[in-house]
Amino acid sequence: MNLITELPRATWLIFRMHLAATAVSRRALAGILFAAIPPLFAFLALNIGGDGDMGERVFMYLGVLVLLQVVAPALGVFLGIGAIADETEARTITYPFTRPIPRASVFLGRWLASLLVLSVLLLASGAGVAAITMRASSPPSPEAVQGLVGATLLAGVLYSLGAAVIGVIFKRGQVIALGYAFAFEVMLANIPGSAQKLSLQFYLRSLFVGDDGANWRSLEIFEPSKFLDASASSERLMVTAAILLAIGCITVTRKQFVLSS
Amino acid sequence: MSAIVLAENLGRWYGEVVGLGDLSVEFEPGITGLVGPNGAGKSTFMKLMVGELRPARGRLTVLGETPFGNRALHRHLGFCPQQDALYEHQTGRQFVRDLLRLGGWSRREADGLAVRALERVGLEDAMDRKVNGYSKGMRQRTRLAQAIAHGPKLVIADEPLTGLDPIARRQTNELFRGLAEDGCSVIISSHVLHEVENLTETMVLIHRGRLLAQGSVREVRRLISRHPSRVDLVARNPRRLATALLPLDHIRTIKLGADPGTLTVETDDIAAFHSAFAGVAAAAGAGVSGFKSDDASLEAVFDYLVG
Repeated sequence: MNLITELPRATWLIFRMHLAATAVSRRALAGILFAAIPPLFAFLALNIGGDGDMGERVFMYLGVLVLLQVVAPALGVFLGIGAIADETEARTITYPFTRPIPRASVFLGRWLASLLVLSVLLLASGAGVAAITMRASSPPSPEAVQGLVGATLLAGVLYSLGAAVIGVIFKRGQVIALGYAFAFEVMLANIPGSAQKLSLQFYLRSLFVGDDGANWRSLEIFEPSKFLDASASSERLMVTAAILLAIGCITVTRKQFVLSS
Repeated sequence: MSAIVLAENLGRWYGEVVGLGDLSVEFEPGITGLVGPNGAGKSTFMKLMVGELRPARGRLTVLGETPFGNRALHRHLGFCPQQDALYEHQTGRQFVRDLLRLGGWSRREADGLAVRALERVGLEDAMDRKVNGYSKGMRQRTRLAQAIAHGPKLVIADEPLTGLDPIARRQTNELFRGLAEDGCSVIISSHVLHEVENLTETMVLIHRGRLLAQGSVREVRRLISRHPSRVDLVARNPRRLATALLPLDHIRTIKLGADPGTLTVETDDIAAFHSAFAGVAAAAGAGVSGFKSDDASLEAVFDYLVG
């Protein structure tokens, strides 16, 4: 059977095999708690001593500072890292690797199962923040909501994929992935200047700033930045995702996973 | 007859630790026991055979193919790993069925094959229960079921009898014999010689990652018999027991232990000792309450053989 037909088939089977287990895993259950934080903060900001007319600002602040910069990377890392790392840790990787399937399908299938769970959590979190802030007297625009939720979902794809690749390459990848997401990325993304372009956050933010950057200007604490337009940004993020996918698939195909007896 | 496994100067290291040194060996079709003490390199060799690892040096072919990442070969291989790992969220039936589906079977075909394999290993009553509720022996049999379900040409089983009770052990041995009768070759590893001896005449002994001996059980036994076997005994009257055992031809030494009632016997013929012991001990009225033969542990024998 050739690789072109076998890869999607085996990926689908691995995805189905692991979806339910991923959805009820400890990682996903912790993720539910984490995803509940932005809507909870939105509710508190607008209802505890708030004046009720800050819907748009609360949405933007929570969207960028919490959802996009903390929740999406954290959930992405927690769920993505397990794609191969969980199999090697549980020492079950022997089973799919001794079946007549491309090894890459194990990486893809497990990552896609994690991604689906992650996307549901991020969508629920973003929709929760939007629903709460849209009830305020000065609600965010539908375009801003759409842009931020879209950027958050894309952030989920990229961070989980990056973490999954790190999990394939390194034995204790979670520390490295968290270090990247919360030290390297956060620093690069928030230092004024062109170094921002080395971070995923720059391109994710570019997706929702709006044509004239109005959405970003509402976050007054930040330096004004010159962002890319949304389509150029999407393109670069997609290329990054494709490169990560290729690295993950090639590494899992070539690497020898030494399991303890 | 052509070799099903051919290893030439095979080596595999884990950093600075030698998993397999310089192994050259051929396996013929049928049942072969791969025997060696813990750490001999049996599991490493098996992982190389199923393509989980790549050799660091040398050449290895299984059913005429290079194993690492060889999907065509994996259709014909069944591997029962040593590690007690299963997908805990699944039932035994789902586990075997889903792995079969990866081999290209439809859901219905896979389910039928899974049920048949689980019945064959004696799990028909438990197959719809979650594997996380299985006993150690049931988990072992589930691993065996996934290895045989697709009708492979070669089954490679790493310590498959470990953790099984005597009845399950007998059933498993019967299963391996049945597979061999159906034309499937079986390679099983063990660190307990008599475990494999019950199953096959053909044996490969490895130690410290190298081939030590290969041949029939009798030949290997003869090699081993040059090394005295040790038996630890506990008796109410150890002196009387020692006196009664000493006239036996094959007894080399008898030492009274530091603990009261203990003694250690070294014999050149463990089988003769086993046949004579009960009668001699009963006649002496020594009140034997403990008997431990180190024949089960190959470590000493291997150390002796490699000098």
